[in-house]
Amino acid sequence: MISPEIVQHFEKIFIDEKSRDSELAQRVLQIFPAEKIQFVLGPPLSNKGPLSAEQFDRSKRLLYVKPFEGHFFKRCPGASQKKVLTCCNYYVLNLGQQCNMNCSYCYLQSYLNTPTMQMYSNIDQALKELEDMAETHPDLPYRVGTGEVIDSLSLDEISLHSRKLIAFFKKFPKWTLEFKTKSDKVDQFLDCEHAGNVVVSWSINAPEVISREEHGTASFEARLKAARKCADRGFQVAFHIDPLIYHSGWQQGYQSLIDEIHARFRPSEVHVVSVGALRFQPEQRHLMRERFGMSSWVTSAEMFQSEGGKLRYDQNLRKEMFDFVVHGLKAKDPAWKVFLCMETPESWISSYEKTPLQVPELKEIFRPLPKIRSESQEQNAGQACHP
Amino acid sequence: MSKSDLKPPQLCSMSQCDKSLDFSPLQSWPEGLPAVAVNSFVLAGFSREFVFNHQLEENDVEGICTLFRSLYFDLSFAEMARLSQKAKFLSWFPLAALVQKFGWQANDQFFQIADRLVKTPVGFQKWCTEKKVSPQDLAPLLSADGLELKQLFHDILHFQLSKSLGVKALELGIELILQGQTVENLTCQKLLSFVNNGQSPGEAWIAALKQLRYPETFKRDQAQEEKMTSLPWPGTSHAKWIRQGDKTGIELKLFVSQPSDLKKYLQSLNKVQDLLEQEATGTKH
Repeated sequence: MISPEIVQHFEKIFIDEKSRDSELAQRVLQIFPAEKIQFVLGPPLSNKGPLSAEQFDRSKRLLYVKPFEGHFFKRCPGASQKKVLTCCNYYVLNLGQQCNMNCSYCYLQSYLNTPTMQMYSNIDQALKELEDMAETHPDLPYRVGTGEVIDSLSLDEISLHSRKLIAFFKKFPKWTLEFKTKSDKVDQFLDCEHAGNVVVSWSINAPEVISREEHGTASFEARLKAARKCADRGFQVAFHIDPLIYHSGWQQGYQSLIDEIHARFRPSEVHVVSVGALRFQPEQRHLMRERFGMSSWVTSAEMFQSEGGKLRYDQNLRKEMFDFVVHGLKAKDPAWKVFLCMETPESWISSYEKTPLQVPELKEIFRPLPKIRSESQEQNAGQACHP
Repeated sequence: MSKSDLKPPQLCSMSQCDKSLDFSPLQSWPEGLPAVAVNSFVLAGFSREFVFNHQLEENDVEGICTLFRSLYFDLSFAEMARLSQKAKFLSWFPLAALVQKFGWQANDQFFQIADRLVKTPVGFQKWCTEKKVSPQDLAPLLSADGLELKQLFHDILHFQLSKSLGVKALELGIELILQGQTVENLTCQKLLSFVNNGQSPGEAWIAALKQLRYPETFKRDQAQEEKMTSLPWPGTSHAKWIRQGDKTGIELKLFVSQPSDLKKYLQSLNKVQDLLEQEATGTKH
């Protein structure tokens, strides 16, 4: 059963002729009324350079189903900033781009310049890429996530990509598949047999932050309930408390988040809790200001340029916030596995008094792994693996 | 070069032409040279009596762009903004292609910022031209619809701010007004008390705007500065509290003329370190 709000959400769905016979296109044709669907030869809209606020808003309501051309499988952007960030060996499998939800801080605002949301119809090619890599390194603990430039699950009712991926990862139990979402859409894969290596993770925040800054996402309660359902079906769950957003009364908000996670889950059920603080590219601030005004806790935040170029809170404030959450969880139970995401070595040392490779329960996650084929090819071509 | 470009222009009187594209270009048109028009629309030399009128096909985008580009070596964003304001009503005028010809990306954002810029006072537009301000520098204007910013523009001109300071003032001013400050509260006169020694009035104004925009950081920094600068730093050293991006700290200048100076400094610095460590331990307990 597809949620009616998803059917209503999209004004128009463009299906590229090259995707006409794909499973995804067939699903779309079944789900959406015919008057919303149009077959196209190539991109239906074009744009040069950054999108305007209106174009960005509209792109969330125009869906373009097309095959992806290029490497599906890439390293997380954190890996390209090794000098300034401590990276956790995360690989990303992009099965689309843009998001049907609307968080004020979303980094896609500085990243996307296509005026449509895209879902890729050739997941079989993505699985082929994974298979090639899996044959080379079947026993190394690669972590592969699908939620970098598109939410892993918010439109999964349409694509059902999760089912194919879970089945694929069953063959490679040393590898970990991670879905990352702000939705509560999990029912479509709960019956899938899995090898215990699927992590369903939620980007979660203090309830006030969710209602104020994460527009169109599932509520705090709905996310935790969906996570509970997954844990009950033997899936590992994870929480990304990211971005921490400073506001008056932030301690109470984040304390209630810690309390709820601890009350509803045992540390053994939770793969990891990652913590990150608000950060964004400087050029993104204009679009955010235009789209969300200055009453947002994000646009009105007091941000400063950090070493890697992104805007971040003052380092001491970040430390205070990280300490609060990391020590808050650890005080509940030292068994919680908590790490800092997209943070500098200085922040690690100030919160943990050590780097992640010196933290026994995190060592495995941060252990450097061999380069995958697409990385080596891109490096040979003199390109970064991610913009 | 397109075929239609090969036709020689006809000389005609200005009264036979349309001057609606007059975008007040800064470049002065050479004395004695007739104006230049395309299909009777004047492109350059708007104050002349006679015009060389080129007849080009309306769909000859390249020909029209090449002709225009040959008339203007360079155009500032403010000039292009004024031109786009005038030309958007002429369906045949290849505005997007022309914008690209001058090196900008002709997208919605460009035209929206251009649209906001032409509504600003002429003096501010001139400042933008002089300082070579880019469309992206003026992006804050996109959030400023309906805001009364005349005083802000006036102050930017009054202080003869550099490009970086002026653009910063514009963004800080717009953000503060959107946060509920009145534009009167942001004027230089209101903020004169913030002037520090060694700063130009313009720099002091920006510093004052920053204090208003980042009040909590300012408060925290002040407390931290007070604490850190009161520590027993070596006697003749100069300890200055500074912010570098998202980090703050003490910048310490030491003058060493002989090895014994260094020894003294190190002893004093050890004392400071002990005090800071004691305090950190105390805080943890």
